[in-house]
Amino acid sequence: MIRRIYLYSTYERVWHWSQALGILLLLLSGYELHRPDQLHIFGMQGAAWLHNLLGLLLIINAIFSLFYHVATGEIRQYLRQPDDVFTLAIQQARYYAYGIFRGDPHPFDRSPQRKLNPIQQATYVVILNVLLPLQVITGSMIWGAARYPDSVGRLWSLRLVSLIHTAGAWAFALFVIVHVYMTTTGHHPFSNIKAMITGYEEDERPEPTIQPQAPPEASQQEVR
Amino acid sequence: MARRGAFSAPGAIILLTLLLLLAAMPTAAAALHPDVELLDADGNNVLDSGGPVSPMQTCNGCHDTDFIAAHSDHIQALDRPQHARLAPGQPSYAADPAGYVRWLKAYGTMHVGGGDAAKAGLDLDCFLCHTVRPDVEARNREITDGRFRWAATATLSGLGVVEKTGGSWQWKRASFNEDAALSADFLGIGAPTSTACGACHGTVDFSRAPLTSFPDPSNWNTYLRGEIYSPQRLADSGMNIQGKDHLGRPFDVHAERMVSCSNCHHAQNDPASFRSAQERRLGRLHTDVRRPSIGDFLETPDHRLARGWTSFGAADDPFAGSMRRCEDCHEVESSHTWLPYPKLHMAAMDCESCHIPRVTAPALQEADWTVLTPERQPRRVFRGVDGPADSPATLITPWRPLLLERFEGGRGERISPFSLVTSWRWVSGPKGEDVSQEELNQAWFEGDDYAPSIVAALDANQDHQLSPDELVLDTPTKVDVVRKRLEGLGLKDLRIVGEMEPYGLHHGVAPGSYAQSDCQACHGRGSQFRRATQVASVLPGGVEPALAAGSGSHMDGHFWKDQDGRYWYQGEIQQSSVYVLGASYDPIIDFLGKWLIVLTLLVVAFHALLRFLGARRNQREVQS
Repeated sequence: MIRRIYLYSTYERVWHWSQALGILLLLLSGYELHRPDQLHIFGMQGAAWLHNLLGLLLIINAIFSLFYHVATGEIRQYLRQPDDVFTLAIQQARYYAYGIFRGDPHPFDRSPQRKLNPIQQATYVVILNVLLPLQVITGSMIWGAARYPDSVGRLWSLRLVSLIHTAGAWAFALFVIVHVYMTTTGHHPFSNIKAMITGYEEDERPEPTIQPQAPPEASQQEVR
Repeated sequence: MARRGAFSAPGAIILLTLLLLLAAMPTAAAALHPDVELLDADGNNVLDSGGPVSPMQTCNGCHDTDFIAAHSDHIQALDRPQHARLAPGQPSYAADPAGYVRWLKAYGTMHVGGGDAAKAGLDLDCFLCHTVRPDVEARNREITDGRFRWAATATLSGLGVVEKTGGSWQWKRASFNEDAALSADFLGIGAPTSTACGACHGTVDFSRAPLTSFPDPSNWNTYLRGEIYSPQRLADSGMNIQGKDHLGRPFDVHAERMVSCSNCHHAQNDPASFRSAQERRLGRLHTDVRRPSIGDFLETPDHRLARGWTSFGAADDPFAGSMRRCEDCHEVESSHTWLPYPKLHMAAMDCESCHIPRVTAPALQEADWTVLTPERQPRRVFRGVDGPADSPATLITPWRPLLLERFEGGRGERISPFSLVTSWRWVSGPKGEDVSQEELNQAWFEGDDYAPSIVAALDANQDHQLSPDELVLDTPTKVDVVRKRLEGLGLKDLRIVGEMEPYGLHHGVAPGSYAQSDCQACHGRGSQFRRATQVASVLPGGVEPALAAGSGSHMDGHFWKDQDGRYWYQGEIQQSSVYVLGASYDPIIDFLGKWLIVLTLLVVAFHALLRFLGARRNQREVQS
């Protein structure tokens, strides 16, 4: 029996993929600005223009997404922690460390009420609440210092801010690599990516080993 | 119907008036000027006395020449202690007070006269800058021959009012009017032309003849910086510049656009150009409309000309930064729409950094006064040529200026292009006083020939001659030989000192189409800020030169000597206060970032491999 679970709303998918595209292009244009001798895609002028534009779009996207997550209550996906969060996190880590090689079942079953396992929750909290704002703030500082060097530029050291921004960019690049790889750890290598495209996750396995908490509203599970 | 003419009557009158005004313009200043009676030092007409003309007496009738002499950089510059050493490394005349006349004979051609030079008889020569056709060569001959009193008279020989016959100067009465005076029109009195400035400051050429310019210590800016001020296109010049057929730009775009030196370097109290120095400008005023009357200016013209942030002595110069800057005439942002972050670029760097991308004339790289050539000159090496710099056959390779940060008063530290000149000289005593030129001559020569002990030490090919290649103190033995010769003159505690002097480049400006517009020239690991620049072809006595005090700039990079003994400087933008995107980076962060990416990819690949192997094993177990 194939379970078909509707996990991601249209907005969530558009948000995710626009974020993904934005971050990828930000990394590429950012690297071209950082090492113009190694990467020639947009040209320095084009890279600077694109980087600024994408940064602005990313901020707008983040504001919309915050509104969406607060308004729909989806923000709880990131904040609500089960009582045995540490146990579940260790269970999850063990699975990635060796259970996955033995063909053990995935310790966490996603549901519309709990889409993120504890490790994902922690990662996204750091990415969305620390790394992303850090990049937005330092990027805005660099942008401001470039436009208003007489006033804004004197408030901080452009060198220090740029170094923090560069370090943040490396961290984002690391996240992207790990994130893309982790999408292949679903029931099938592409099942997670497919779910983020269609919104539905398909699962041929027996009933989940970890029961999700009772949904606050009518279940969206479809069984056929 | 009557056919209408091309112009109506009022229109024709206006046009005619304009044409007449236009025709009168070049001589307008002279036309306003009364006839000039040439007076000698005693105030007598030179036609009566037959003596040399004294500009101080002649001009004093209307202009306060004492005020001018007291307010003129051209006079006081060479009286200042920091200018006592006229050329890099050259023994200071302060080290040889008795030899001031000797010094004046050698270098007075670069002196307008007056001040200390007046005490030796070289009077302030107003004619040199304020008349047409000054005979600079005739003046120079009088100076080098030690006939200082006749120098200003010789200047006027270009007008034909005086000529030298039988070794003495004779005034030509026929050239004067019935009042024994010369008309101002004839003298062409007016503001200094660029050509007049060029007589001392560097190659200025507005002629149509193919331009040639060779390094000459009396051509200061061209000698030290390779700057040439001319509207002539490089391709049309007579200079052997590499790839010049493709260089359609003028030597200086301002010269091409008819900007004269005095347009920017104006008199401080010229009411037409007056602007207070940035530091002294009232905070809320764009401009100060209060200025001297024309009458006051003409009586007491302040000859401390407006200037920029000169490389040396700017710290105690109240007029540093008083001249017009690029942005005073040019609208920067609207003309640089292609440039990302124009404000940031303009705040961080001088326009010359991009608009003088390469220098197309040789410039002094090193002056080694530890040795003397047969002409009693230092060993000189020039930047931009690989061969004799004074030969028209030598190929000139346009060279890139060195970009350094320089303190520019209220403008803060800004990146600017420089010509780096390095010099070495002998000093003695605990205070490191310069060994004088005369002492050097005595140490190196016996009569007209090199001292035998020096020839024996330096003559590598044993031909009993010292070739230019052999004339260098590159071993301790050679240094000791010269030291002993100098000690023989009674000098003690002898040592060699080396100095690097960065001279700012501000002329030889390229038009926009030839300016640096490749972002990667600065932004990238191959940035100009990180480019290696040769400092010296050899280190005399192994002495590493230090940056001259008071240059206002700093060299944050590192120095090294290559296997051929050449000495290099490489900028380190990381050490600088300026952050240059693409060139500035933290090597630790980049190292960690890259290797964490590599490590992560390896871990991911290893994890994926284990998953693949595990899946195969599990599959086999299920099948079995």
